[in-house]
Amino acid sequence: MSIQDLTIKEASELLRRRKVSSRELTESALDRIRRENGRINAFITVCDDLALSQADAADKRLAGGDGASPLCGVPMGIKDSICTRGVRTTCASRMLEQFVPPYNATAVESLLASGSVLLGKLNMDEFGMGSSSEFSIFGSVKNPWDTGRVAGGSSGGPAAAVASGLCCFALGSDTGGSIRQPASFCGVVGLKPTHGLISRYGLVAYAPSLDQIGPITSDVTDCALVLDAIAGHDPRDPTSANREGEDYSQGLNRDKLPIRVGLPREYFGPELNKDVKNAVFKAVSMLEEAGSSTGEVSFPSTEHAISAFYLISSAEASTSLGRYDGIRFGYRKTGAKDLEELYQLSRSEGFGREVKRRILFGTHALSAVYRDKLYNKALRIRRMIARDFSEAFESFDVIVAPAYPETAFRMGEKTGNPLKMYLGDIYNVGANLAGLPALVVPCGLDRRGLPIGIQLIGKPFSEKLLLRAGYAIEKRVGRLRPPRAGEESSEGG
Amino acid sequence: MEADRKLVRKIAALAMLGLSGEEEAEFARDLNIIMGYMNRLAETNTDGFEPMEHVVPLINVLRQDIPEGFGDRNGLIGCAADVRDDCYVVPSVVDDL
Repeated sequence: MSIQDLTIKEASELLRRRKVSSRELTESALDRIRRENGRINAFITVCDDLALSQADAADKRLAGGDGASPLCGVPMGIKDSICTRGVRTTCASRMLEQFVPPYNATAVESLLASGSVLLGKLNMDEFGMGSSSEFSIFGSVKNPWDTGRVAGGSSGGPAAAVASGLCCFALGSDTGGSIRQPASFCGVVGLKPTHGLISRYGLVAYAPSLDQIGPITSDVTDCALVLDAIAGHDPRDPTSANREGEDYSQGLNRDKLPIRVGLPREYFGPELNKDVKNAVFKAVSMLEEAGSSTGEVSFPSTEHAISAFYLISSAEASTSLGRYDGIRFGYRKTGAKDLEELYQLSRSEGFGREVKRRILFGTHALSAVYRDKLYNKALRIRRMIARDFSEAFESFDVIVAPAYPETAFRMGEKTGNPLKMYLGDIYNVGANLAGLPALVVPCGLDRRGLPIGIQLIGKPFSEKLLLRAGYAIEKRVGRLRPPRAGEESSEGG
Repeated sequence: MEADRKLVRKIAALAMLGLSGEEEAEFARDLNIIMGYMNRLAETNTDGFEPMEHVVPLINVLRQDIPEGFGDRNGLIGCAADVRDDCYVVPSVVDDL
């Protein structure tokens, strides 16, 4: 039995009917990773023995009728910024190349308790800082639709692994679009939940007021199933919302979806690729078919969103990454003559270029002279952006946006121009700044045959509604699958 | 403000980073481009908008004052690059007497 193309739901049904064992599914996935990972570079670490022992334990649970969770026995991958006990967690950085956490992230703990099987850890931009998964010491992640193009970032590994059938589902993390943009580029489903819905305990911090763990899956049903398992309050995360998750996977398929859908006029300007625009509008018409009404809305603060986001995220990063001093964990340069030199040399050699760039930028924004002019100004803009959304939600239930201004771009196209890379995040950073849930669902292909995603942004804790809307689109578009190896959609442009 | 290599060196020292000459030049260039773009923020009127540091209202979360053991002390200490007798080893932090 091949894991390729199986959703969680399909795999779970086969496991329950004893048509396949978790060991068989896991062996198939490991075999596929051995054959395919060289082409995609999605996995950094593969834990064969651990995965097989977890699969055997899941088989015992299933045989004993204790496979209550649909995730029991289903193989998964975890982004390498999320801690896994006994399995190294590198953040794709030299700084953490040898770091083996002595504890699991709460989200990982929940998935393991459900009986999911950990295949390994997935590639990403170093510390989550990037939009292409090219800033990794383990090399770039390749897009399974066209290996000459990026998989998106920073959760490029999770999105590429799910799209190419190396695992049934994955966990990513999203600080400014890091789940949604790669999901869009790879033709899979990605959800950034409301800030606080999923515990951040064990997620290596980049910008804590913006970071959020979320699922990357083959379809909307799977996304809901993973959310069922990981949502809920965690006392170990002080910013965890004091509420339990809902039953997200029930009632996804509605005959009628009479919701009000808002289209921000600032999101559909000339900078938006025409194919992307057409596909998103077509998906909106599918929501209308399902009974939704649509209208235009204005987000006047959009023009400042990127500036505010990069100021705030870099400022938080400069603080979060202050803990890497070469002493208690992480890379340490030997031979330093004193403590200060040890700090400097360890950090200078342990961090890559993009991480250093953001630490410097954040340190500058927080310096005494510029704090008011830059950081505090950005925090005020953040409140303006949050107000734009809350006012829009007085008239609309869901805001529609593209996931990115274009489809997957070529390797190396933006790495030499940081600002160009940052500007692409324009439709994504608002949901992080305002702490809102946002779901990306595939909605078509561009003229090159590359996937396009539509983004649905909702009120806080409205994940269930977003999943229903996403399901309505998915039902009409169908699931997108990348071409097999050697049949990619490469072309000249 | 024009970012130059001197300013980058100063920020890098605050951030405990040592940079090569090539990095200093690259980051000075990048900082100028990025700050040039962000200068538009200064012209935006944000009167009446309080700084928003977090989307979750900050309230004190209290719990019973009962110690909870982590359970894997060796696992934690074992993450360090240099450990002796259950202690982290660091370069001398006092001058020679």
